[in-house]
Amino acid sequence: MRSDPRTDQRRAGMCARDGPALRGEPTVSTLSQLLPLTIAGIVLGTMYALPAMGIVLIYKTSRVLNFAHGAIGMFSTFIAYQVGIVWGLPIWLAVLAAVVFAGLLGAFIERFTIRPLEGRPPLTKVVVTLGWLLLLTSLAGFIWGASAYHAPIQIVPEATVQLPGVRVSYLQLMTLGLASGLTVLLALFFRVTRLGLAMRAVADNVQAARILGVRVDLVNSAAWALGSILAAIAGVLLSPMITLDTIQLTLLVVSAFAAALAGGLVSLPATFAAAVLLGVLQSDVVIWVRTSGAKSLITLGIVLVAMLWRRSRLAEVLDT
Amino acid sequence: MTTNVHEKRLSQFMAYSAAMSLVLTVALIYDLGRTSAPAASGESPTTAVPGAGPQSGTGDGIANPNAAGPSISDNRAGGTTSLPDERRGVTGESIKIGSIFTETGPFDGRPAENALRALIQTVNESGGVHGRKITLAVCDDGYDATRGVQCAKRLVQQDKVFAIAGWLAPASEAQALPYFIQQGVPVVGGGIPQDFGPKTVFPNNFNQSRMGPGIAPTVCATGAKKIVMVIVDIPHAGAWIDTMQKGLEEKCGFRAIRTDEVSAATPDYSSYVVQWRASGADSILAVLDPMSLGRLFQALKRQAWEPKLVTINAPTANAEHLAAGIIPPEGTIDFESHLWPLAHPGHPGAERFLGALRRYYPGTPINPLMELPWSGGELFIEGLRRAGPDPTRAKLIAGLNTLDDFVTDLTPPVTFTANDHDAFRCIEVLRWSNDRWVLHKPQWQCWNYTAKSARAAPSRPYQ
Repeated sequence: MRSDPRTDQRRAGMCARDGPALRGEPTVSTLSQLLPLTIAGIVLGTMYALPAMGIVLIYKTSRVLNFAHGAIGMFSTFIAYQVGIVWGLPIWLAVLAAVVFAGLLGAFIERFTIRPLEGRPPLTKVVVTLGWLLLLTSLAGFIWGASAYHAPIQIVPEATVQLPGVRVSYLQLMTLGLASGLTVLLALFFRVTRLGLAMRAVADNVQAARILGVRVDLVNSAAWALGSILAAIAGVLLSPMITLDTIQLTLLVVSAFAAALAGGLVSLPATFAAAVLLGVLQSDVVIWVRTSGAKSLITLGIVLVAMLWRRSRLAEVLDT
Repeated sequence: MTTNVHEKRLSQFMAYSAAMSLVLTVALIYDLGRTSAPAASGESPTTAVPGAGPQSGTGDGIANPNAAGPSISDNRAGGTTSLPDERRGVTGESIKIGSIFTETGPFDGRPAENALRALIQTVNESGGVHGRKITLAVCDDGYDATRGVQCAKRLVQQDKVFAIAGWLAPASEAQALPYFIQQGVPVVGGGIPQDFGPKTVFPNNFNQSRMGPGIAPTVCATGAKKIVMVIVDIPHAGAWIDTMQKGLEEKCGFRAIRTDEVSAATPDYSSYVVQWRASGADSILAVLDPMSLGRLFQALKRQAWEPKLVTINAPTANAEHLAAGIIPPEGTIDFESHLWPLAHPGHPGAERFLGALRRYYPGTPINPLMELPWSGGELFIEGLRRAGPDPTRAKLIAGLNTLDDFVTDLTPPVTFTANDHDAFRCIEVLRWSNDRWVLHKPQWQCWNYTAKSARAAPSRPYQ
């Protein structure tokens, strides 16, 4: 008796809704798919790593989880769009405008909406950042149109490079290189520069840092400015890949948060590694899983595992 | 610090982390969707219903497309209960209709709203219907299902509308519809599977839970053999996949080799493209929002893979789309439920539609979302005409049920009967060629569902 091909496929572990491959066709080896998918996942992970580092930078110094990070990057990218696309000015000027705007915005947010809440519970400051998220998203939608089509800022040519089983664009390679480079640079920044050391001092013990003459307010503003600049860089780099609108860049930071949490919100190398791991897992899971929820579960799983694994370290971090 | 303080801080952190994880989870499953261009202001006041803000608005899975929902069960098409005979919303000078659109939030439904307003203005300038002008009360659902239900109640209880016409509320239609049915308010427009049973609802889109056998022959005719289906995770994605698989199996002799449901927030489709190509697929059937389609196009281009690509209701690219990088690969086939006006120069209906938009909302880019409210409004207007000079809701419904091969501006001929409101059984097939959409098939491609129905010929001319 001929078996039902759909039953065969269920036994093989494939989705019951899928049909059988044509008889005689060779099946594709899972291992042979893993390499190109892993490469694609690494590239995807660096898309998360860039915004994640900005989140960690701000938290590392000011102990505020900035939910508006993605929105700051989005709004700054729209500034670049306005300057470079709408006004037709040179792209380098557009990027510079975005970076400067982001820095000023970050400093403004810290100075006038976070600093006055010193001494309040951390959740209060988090809620303020949520407010900024809503404000920036709505304002961008009002100015440039909510989810309307916008031409992206093209920084590099659209050519691609062939890697084993997958092609990667110049922009993706640039993102990978920049994320890796920033990880190293920022790690050095916190170790050898005066401002970096001051940020670490403020993060460890605010009162002691004040006593030692560190200008805590200035350091916090610098952290927010620098973190927001990273958000702007991420937005400008990523918008050609994910389309420029008020939502996508804001949402991308959700996975970035997961990577930042997995990095303990303090370690930039761990954040980078977590982001890459997240991207790889989300990419590789496509081999077996056909629903959208799996990627979300992976993200949540990484967050939970990281929090459980680092609970002692996190307890020390909170002891301020 | 003492151990107790450590533990206390740790507990606090775990509590904050749990809350944050919950927020992340909700955000991760938030369905965003759709796009369109900003639009000019309309003539009637918009009622914004205060609510909790944009949330994911999803309905339940579709088990029975003929289910009327949690309301009057004998309100199905063909039921014997008499319809409400009301003149609510009707005065000597005007008839007030209501509509729900998404004006705020992640989906910009204002162009669609403006298309309906343009139609109404056109009708009113011609003297209205039987001497009465049409007025429109609009409620913004903010892409939120809860607000959509509130909108429904407001339109019925406070605005006291005569009927609902031409609405486009993808996030809240499934939740708001039962209330309209329960209140006996006629609804003209919409196209989710729940619309196709109740006798007071007249959808103006094809039944997505049945369209598979109708669309499949055209898919097969592209030469596709190993098809991958990808659909954004909308509430009735499962029903859509099932009908397409059924259609492919019946009409083509094979099923799709793989189906993927993806989030609208998926930032990069490279891994999917790599996997699909590795699985030997030669075609992709994509039901995605325009931005997701753009990212898919980019991934295909980046991976230098050119499968046969079939889309449904794709962004019909204009200069804005092209500038944003949403460029379909050459040869992409697209199925449309409505006639795409830019592919029909000189077509009377297309010219009327475009003319009205250019007159009342100049500069607004045309997109397919505008066509649904226009055709929904057209059907309502015709039903109202047939209802006579003293319209009631019952007469409106009776009038709509007399539409027989009724020719509209942008749709295939429409036939409603008291027992069957599944009128849209044709698609237009377009092809992306030389940076624009052209007709791939010269006529509507239609299909029948019941053996006794003689309404839909295999192909029909564009009228």
